[in-house]
Amino acid sequence: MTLSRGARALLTACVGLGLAFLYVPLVVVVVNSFNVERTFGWPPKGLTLEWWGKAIDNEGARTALLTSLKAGAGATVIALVLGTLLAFAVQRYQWFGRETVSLLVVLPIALPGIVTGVALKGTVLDVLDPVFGISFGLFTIIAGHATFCLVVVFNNVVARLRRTGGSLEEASMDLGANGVQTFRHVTLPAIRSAVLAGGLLAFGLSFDEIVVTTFTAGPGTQTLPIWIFNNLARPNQAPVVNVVAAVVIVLAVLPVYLSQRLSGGDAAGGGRL
Amino acid sequence: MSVSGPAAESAPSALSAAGRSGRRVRLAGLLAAPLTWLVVVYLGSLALLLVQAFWSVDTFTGKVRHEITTANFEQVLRESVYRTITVRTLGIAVAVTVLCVLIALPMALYMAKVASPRAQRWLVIAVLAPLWASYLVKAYAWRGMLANGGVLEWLRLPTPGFGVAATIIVLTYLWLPYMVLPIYAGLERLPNSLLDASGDLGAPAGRTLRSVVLPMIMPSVIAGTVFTFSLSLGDYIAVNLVGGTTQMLGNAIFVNVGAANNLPFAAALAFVSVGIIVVYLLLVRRSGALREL
Amino acid sequence: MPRQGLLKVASVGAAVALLTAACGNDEPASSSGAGTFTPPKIDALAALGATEGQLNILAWPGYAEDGSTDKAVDWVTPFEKATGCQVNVKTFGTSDEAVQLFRTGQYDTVSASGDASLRLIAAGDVAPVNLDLVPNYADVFDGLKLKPWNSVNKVPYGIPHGRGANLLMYRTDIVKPAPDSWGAVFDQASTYAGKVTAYDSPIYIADAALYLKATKPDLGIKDPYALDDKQFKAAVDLLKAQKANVGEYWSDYLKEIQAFKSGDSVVGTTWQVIVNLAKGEKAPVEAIKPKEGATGWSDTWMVGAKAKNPNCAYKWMDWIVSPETNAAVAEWFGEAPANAKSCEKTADKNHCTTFHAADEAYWTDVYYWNTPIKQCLDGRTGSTCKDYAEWTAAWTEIKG
Repeated sequence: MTLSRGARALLTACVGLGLAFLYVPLVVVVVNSFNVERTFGWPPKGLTLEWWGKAIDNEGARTALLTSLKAGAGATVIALVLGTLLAFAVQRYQWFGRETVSLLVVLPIALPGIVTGVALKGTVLDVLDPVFGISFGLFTIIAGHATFCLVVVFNNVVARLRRTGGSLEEASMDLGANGVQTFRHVTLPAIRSAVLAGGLLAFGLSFDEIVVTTFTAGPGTQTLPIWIFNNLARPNQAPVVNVVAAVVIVLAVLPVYLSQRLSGGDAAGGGRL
Repeated sequence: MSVSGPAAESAPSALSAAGRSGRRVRLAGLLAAPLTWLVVVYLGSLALLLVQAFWSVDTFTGKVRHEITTANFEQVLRESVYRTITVRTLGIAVAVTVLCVLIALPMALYMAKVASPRAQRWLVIAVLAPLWASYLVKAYAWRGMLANGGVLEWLRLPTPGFGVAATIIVLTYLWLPYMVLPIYAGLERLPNSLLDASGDLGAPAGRTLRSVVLPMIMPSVIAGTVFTFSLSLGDYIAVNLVGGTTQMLGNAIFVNVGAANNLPFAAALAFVSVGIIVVYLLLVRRSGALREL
Repeated sequence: MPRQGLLKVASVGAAVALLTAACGNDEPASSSGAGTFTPPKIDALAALGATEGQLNILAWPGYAEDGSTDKAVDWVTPFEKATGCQVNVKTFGTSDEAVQLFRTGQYDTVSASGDASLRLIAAGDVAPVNLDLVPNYADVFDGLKLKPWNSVNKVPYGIPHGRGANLLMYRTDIVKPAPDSWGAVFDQASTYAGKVTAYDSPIYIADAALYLKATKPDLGIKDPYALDDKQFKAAVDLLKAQKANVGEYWSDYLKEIQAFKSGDSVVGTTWQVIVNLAKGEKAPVEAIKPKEGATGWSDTWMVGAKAKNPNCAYKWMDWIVSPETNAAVAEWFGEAPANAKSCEKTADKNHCTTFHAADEAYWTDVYYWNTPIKQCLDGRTGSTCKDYAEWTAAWTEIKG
């Protein structure tokens, strides 16, 4: 599309402002992690590495990070399996209720987190705990996260399936391969990058989730967002939280970059995140 | 869930019948696990919550009374404060959505149509990366920025202080990437040939944007609005930090789950928000936006 | 009652049946007499057994420090070493959160303020305490023993933790002259419009009632937690008027400290611990107990009726009220200790004097947080008072 120079300049300015808008608060976070004051007075009256030192020693943060990674991994695996299965069912078959299910899949992510959180908490308290003995803990966190991570994987895989079409699979079957072989050698390679991209995005969603997690975690389990929530209110801990956040921001570029490489031209992974 | 074959059968041969039932078995196999999860676990939990909305709490002991009553819904509808809160929340959600669209459109346009492919990738990463920074930390950072003597004042920018305006700004900030990405995805899928054709037919860039681009990316825009709208509708954390005394629907729900220990009432409030979202989803379903999520 | 409910509800579906099967079948508390009620019958622990190796504590921030806030401030690790009970602490911001969290049954012990304790007792969430199993209880100040918020009909339900008053904090450089009355945040709140702050909990209505007790004696308010229709309406109206001048309501420390430091808030209620921290951050603030008196809190460590680790819970209660630990907590948090012997153990020899630990006269105009119930807490028999559910509904209305 040909745009006038003026229009291009305007767009460039918009992007510049937009990125500034996005990153100024993050810069503030990083600067505050060096702030001498515990309550983040601005501008910082002095800089110190004290909080970085404390953060490295902080066992709570390390445990929380580990829990977050475990929860994210668990939720991603479940979302990958269920999301891919469902994507195949929706994209490759015609059946009654297909549209409704597509709407249903979106619900966990479309409905406010607090509704999902309160609903799931009620289920654990009233059904899972008394009947099955499953109490709040890592499992309930993973279950909660998997529910809304599903749609991310689902959308990615559906988009890819829509693009690749079923003819390749049919050709493979015509050439004599059975279902399993077709899946392994034809289908899987075609959707692999979409699945991986969806998985990475699902992991990201789970990693920063706070609302649903607040309701589904138990007293002993702290994911990183919960740890941040508990500690941001305590003046002595708040600067350490900033350090942790700063580290996460910097490290986050890696999975984001990976997911971009993997989805290739799949248009930013099909949507959200 | 009934399954219909791809074509009406008149005189099926044994082979095709076996093929179809084989397909059905495979379909059932595919659907079993995810549907069990979604329907039993998720919808079941929601149903449980809905049932709770029809119960009440013994005001003295705080225990739930399992007797059906519509008192909660009546209270939500009757007391003006909940109407005020709902309208305010809707207003904020709409404002946030509109702002997000206005900021995201030029950004996405640049990313999709002006930037070089390498720049594109890095721009997408740049827009995605802030999502990994903790929501809470970002909200607290904004609190500091908006405060008296904070970053905004330091930069000689006007600061609205804590309140509804601040809430709108911060929520726009938090959800902006969720709007940029679907629009970018939609724009990227738009073939350049269409735009060139429009130009060849004599339309200036503005006209092309208005008459060709916008209608075609409308589903993507709407997909983005689903997120910003629903995320704003249910938010209670950011508004608590920067909203001053502002109460949103999410706060009312949270307070009743926690403070008031009145889960039935919280459930009734929750279903107000669920109702709004479902209506919105049904409205946008036809536009195909849901496939772009 | 649960059975009738079950019959009605069975028609709604299997899920519901599962639900009702899962909900507790305890007898609800019945109400009787003015200002009191009959709690459900639960037995106190008869004797101490072996410790369970774990303990889940629900506490106000600052009550169960394990060194993560400040390496030098730690009375949890010594406890873990002495008893072998590994401790998990969850903190909460308001009593309401505490009640709701404790109800989930995941915690063994909770530091409940008066506006939480009665609710927990009435609902059967906590068990009476066997005082014989808590040796350090003997040294607790008499002014804290068997009080309306930690006992019912002379049955003790917990171990006193300490006490403090809700003070009026103000910026010394902005609020001049120094205030001496709650009028600074009520009648004169418009002087600092947009910069007044208040505690974000329905229990704050009692602060308004307290002010009205002094300024509008014809309303006849005797106990700020026992408000009939007229008194309640007056308090709510006062708070609605105040809201116009409030910048924000606070429920976590950092919010209030930040706000006072930056000047977004210049006057409002606070706790001593926040004042100490704010001064540590070089914020120019002071705090006083105004002439009308103040609401306050005396927290009680309670043990869950269905606690999974009751022996560890009892060990904790004895530990937290032991002279050394109680002294450490009182100094860290900024409150008067519960144990009389703690006064000799505080690092600051004047701590008990500063906090009026033994000065019962100071506490005569401090109205400890209590749970409003329908039977007026001040003993009136002719009227019904507003209960906490109505306070909560009103609070949402006040905030608008």
